[in-house]
Amino acid sequence: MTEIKISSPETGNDKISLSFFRRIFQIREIGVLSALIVLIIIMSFASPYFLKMQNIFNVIRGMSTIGIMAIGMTMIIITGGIDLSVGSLLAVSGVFTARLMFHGVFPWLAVAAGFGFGIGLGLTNGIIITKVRVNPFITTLGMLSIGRGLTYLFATGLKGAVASNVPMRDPSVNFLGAGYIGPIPFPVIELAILVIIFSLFLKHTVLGRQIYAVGSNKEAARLSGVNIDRVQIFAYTITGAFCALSGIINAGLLATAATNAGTGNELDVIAAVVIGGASLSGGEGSIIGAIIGAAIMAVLRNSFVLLHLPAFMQTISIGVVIILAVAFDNLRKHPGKS
Amino acid sequence: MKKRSIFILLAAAMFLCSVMAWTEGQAESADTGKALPPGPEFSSAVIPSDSGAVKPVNQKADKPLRIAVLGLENNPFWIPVKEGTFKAAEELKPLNCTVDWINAGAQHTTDVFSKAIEAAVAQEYDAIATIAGDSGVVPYINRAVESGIPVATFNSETEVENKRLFFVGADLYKQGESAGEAMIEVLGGKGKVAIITGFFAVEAHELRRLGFEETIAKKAPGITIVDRVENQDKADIAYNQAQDFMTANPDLAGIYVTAGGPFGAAAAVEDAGKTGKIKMISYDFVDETMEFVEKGVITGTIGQQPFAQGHDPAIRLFNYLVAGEVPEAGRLLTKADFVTKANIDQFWSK
Repeated sequence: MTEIKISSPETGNDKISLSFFRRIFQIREIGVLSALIVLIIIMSFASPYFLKMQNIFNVIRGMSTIGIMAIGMTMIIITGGIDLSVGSLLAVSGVFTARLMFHGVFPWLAVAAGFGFGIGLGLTNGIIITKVRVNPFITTLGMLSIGRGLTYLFATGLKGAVASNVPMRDPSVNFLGAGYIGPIPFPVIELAILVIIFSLFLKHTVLGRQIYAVGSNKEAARLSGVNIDRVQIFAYTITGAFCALSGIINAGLLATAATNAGTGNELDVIAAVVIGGASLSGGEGSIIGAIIGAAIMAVLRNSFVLLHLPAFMQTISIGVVIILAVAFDNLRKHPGKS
Repeated sequence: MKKRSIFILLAAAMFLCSVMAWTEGQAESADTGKALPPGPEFSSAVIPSDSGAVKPVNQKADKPLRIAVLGLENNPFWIPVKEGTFKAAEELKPLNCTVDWINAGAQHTTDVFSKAIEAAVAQEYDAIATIAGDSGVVPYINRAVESGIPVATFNSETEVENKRLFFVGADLYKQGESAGEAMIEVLGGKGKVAIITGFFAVEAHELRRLGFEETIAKKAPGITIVDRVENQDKADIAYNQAQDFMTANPDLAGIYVTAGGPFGAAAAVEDAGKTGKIKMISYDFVDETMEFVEKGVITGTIGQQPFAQGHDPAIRLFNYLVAGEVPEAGRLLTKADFVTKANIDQFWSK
């Protein structure tokens, strides 16, 4: 009801302040950003440790792999697609890289091969979706399974004929996941750089704008000369690269590529993107929003440990946040409609 | 009309099949009624002195025997289990008995093991050893036993009573108690302890958690449990959680990890420069864990004789089939070896 009042004509000063309020309200990320700020304010009162620099960096480092994959997922979801295979691509790239190193391949060459593997599987997703016209949900659901299976395959035979985690012991590569520059964990820096680059990319490049165009109206985009297949393939392929980086960060942190790494991550990544204001029907979403979404979940997880709250409440609260975020977003888009 | 007649035909065919299968099963069990003695009482328990080294009776089987061991290969825990089964196969080969290690599938759930048990029954194995990770497999075990095939369980055991002959594996609650006692000892009976468990929904992890918590509550009121979280057996999640525990409790004295991924928590403790200041207790002897035991980051890790779990069931099943030898108890518990930096050489080499 209040929204209707705002949109009705008013007089004088009232009108200015209300339209200002309305403009703020319509900035896409404002809802989630204020939720994050409220959460941070509450937490800083509730726990003396929350605002300590080290804790803040721990939280951001903890969400770095989800955040990096969310950059790619945002682009995919904007095109109207979905990628359920990100967790598996993370694991398979990490294990593939570590396995090559284990056999004496030059570490950075192994990293390049790991990236190549992630990119290759992402490209495969993109080609199957656009050229073979298999629904993205089905294609990437299949890839989730294939990726996990390949992970076990690459992890088998180190010691006996069963799958085991693969050690990854090169300090220079592990710096990607475990390094620090001053007090700042290196994955935090990687995340920040990628967020800046790809936010600018989405806003200011032709390909970036085409990603939105494909998602808002495929037919219109096609008629205006956008190669929609190529745009979609790009989104899945670059996501494969982000998964590979996340896999190497994850393995680097622990000096081990774990076979169960990334299981269930697809849900966290999709949740982050959706909390951040992206629409699953495509055409809408932003990388900053997705990062704020990931941050809300990471702060919640951190809070529950800092405040000694029971773990099941954390799981519930994340579910509530996902639904609230989308509900709020609908209110913003269709004020007055219920 | 057509649809209905097809349906009736199908139903009739299914009924016929099941009747045939039933009568066949009846005939078989009557046929193999070689009067094997009844098994030990279901819940009686003992730690056998020959655990892991039980010997086959010195008696050749009259006809060739086949024993199926249904295991898993989804993580390095199973390496020594599989080695145990291979050792048993080697020992039984001259006695006219083959032992087959069968990788049942991806995980210890009912859908995987029910199919594996049914397949082993269909292949007419003379005895089956299986993991019984979840109560859903009980009817499958019972059906196999009723059709005349003795079944042993290993590694994990269902809460619900079933017709298995015996079980070889750890008593998870007792493992939790030993972990609790070890923690009390290394902390001198006081301090803050955090718990990282695999899944609250997995019975085995809960037994280890409860055994630990109840022992501490009973014997060391000076120790407080600050929190319990689940890491889904994942090392990266354990890393974040250990960091958060250390942030929230600068005076944290101990971390107890009930299941998978303890090396993630250990890496966080090491990275925070708290090696030795925070006492860590975990389970099993996988390489990543043992490396942290060797470095002194993980104070101790509790074993469960995985080799015995793969080895003993096949041997004892053979002894039962050939000589009617009944194990001394229904639950043959494996030893909970506590491995620290001091005795690691006896249990692990790089």
